[in-house]
Amino acid sequence: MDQNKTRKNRIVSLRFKIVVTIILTALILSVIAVTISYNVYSNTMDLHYKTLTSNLAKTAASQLDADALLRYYNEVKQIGEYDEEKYQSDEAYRKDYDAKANALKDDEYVRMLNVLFDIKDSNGITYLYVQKLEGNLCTYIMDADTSEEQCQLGTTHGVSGPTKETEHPEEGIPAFITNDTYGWLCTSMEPVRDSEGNPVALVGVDVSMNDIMEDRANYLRSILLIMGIAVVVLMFAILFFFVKALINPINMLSNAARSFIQDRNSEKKNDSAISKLNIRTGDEVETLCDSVKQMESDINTYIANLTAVTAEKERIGAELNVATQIQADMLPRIFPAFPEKKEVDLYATMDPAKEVGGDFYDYFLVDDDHLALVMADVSGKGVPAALFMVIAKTLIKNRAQLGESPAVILKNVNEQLCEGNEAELFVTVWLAIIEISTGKGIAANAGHEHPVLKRADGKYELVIYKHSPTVAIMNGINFREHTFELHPGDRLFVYTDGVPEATNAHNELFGTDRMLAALNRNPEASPKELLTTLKKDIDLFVGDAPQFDDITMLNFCYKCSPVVKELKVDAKRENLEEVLAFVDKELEIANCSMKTQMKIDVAVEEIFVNIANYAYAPETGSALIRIETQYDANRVEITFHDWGMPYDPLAKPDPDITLSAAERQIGGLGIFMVKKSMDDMKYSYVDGQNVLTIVKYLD
Amino acid sequence: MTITKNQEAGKLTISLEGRLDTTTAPQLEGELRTAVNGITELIFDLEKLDYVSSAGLRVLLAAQKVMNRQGSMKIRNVNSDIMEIFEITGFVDILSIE
Repeated sequence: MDQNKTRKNRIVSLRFKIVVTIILTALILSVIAVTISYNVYSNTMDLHYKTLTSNLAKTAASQLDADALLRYYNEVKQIGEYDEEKYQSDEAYRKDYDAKANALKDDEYVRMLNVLFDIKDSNGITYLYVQKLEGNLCTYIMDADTSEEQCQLGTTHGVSGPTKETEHPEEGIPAFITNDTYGWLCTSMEPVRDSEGNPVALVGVDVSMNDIMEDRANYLRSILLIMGIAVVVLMFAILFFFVKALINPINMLSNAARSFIQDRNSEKKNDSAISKLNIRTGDEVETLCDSVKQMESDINTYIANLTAVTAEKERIGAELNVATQIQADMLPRIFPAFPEKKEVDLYATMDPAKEVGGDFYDYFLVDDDHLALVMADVSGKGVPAALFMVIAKTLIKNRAQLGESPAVILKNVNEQLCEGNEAELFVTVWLAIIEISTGKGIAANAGHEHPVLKRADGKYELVIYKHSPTVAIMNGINFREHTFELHPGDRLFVYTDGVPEATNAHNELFGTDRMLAALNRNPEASPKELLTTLKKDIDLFVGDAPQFDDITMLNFCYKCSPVVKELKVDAKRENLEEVLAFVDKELEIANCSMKTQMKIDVAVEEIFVNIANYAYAPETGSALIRIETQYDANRVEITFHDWGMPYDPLAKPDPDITLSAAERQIGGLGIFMVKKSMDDMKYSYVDGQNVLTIVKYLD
Repeated sequence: MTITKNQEAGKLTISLEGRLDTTTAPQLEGELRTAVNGITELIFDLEKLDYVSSAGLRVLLAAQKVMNRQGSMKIRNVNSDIMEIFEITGFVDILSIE
């Protein structure tokens, strides 16, 4: 709505501008043209008239006898002083004066007057007269006039106008134009000279310019009218031209451009409003139209390219996500890592800096009693590092599972990685193989960070020793290895440089000191808790600064072997006390509270009585009770074996404990109580044995 | 387990001391079979009882069923460990525990 409004305003505005421009231009041009032509016209006319009157005056002067004129002048002056007022008002005086003056007019006078009349009539002269100037006075000698206003010989009055202003008026007065009571007149005065060339009198010629002045006004009116009409006609012509040649094509372009996206969206790509434009003005507007068409096709091509590029980017992004997932899946992430190995507790994490990282950790059993731990960092980041990491990880694991020692493993892996390593990538590796039953281990460190060791009663400390070169840096190198021994409660922490080199916004490094401090804050925390706390510390330190390197950590805890005791008895109710005594003895060693001991006793009683009552009925058989105590984990696991008929007590539905006393069945409560009071309960039937396991964590 | 009985007309108070388990439950069951005859109010004092297994619960449930027919039964002085067992098994809703 608003857009349409402004659009309308804009079109009106352009037309308005054109009209105003034309009118202003025409007005200025007209004024200049009219002024110039009017001036030229009037100057020409004035000059023509001035020349004409001047020539007429000269002609008339040549026809007059100077001596006679001087004589008439002298004679009329004898009559006495001419009194103008008296002549006009006093009839007697006028008649007397006229009679005296007329008496002076002889034949010569009449002849000359007739000549003047001839000249006057044949040349359309308004007034033709002869005067004599004497000081400030001029005296009429002749006046070729028949009207009442004729000046009598001797009529005298003061000079005025150009006569007064001319320095030597007796020598003649150049033609001039006046507009007074006699109307528009062009006057010229020429001297009549005697034989010696002295000016005696002046011949005055007045030519009326009333007609010519009227012509001039007419000329002005005509030219203004013509100009006005021309301006209006021209204005409409120009406006029509502009609308056709400029405004309409611009509007078409504007509308077409506006519908560009609409056309694209409505699948009219090859039939858009712009491509249908047909502007043939043959000027810049047509060029503009062609340019817009070109631009449209360029934009379409560009959009098509951009779409293709974006799709390609999305594809690469999706593949990178898959790669990240594959890489994440390659690292073992199931914890607890070895539930059947009670001596081993470990946790590891990797946070890649980019989508895929070059860090990796690994842990796996080489055989039933040997655990391999790997912490490694491939140089570089992103996809190349990730690819190299995959190879390195696979080679190390394959070699390790052959049962080789760390130094041999790394030597072999080094040989293979050096083949075709055009990218000159390398990998730092810490590799340890630990004998689980004894805690003895062999480790090799190929240019990796110092491992951190915590003895059972000590703190986390860096273990600093000389490292071997990194793997894949050079063919044929040997790697150093060393032995170490872990005792129950000892813990190992290995990591990549992403931990100590985590950088905050002030370019400070996290450093091993902060790392050790974080580890020692709660050194007995579970491996998972320990790594989570450390990662939180790093995140807090780094703040908003971007993560530059992968952060990978592994914490390994070597625990005590569990204490296992076994008791085999006949499955008879009479033996319950012996069984409970056996269990209670172990629980006392584990410092079990009386409350928990009672719960465990109830559980043992229920299960043992069940076996005694039903497993071999009606015969009798034996039962094996195995109690496994994990002191450092405060965990007791009791397993009941019998060789009776297969029976899964867990498969039985729980009794409905909401029923009233009358509705409650006597029985089925025992196993339910065990389920409720123990932390875990499992049943399996293996090798002809019912194996029921209960687990309780001591407070 | 020691069982102490104290009878005043139709009111019988039985105090239990020690463990009420598979071994001792039949002993209590035998005592009750004869003792509850003509009793309208049966009271168990469990102050000195430190252990109950499902066998013991069975005897208590049976006694409750009998007393529902001929009078009332109350349980007194239950310690927290045994209370926990009563709670787990839903016995708190069946027995009148004071």
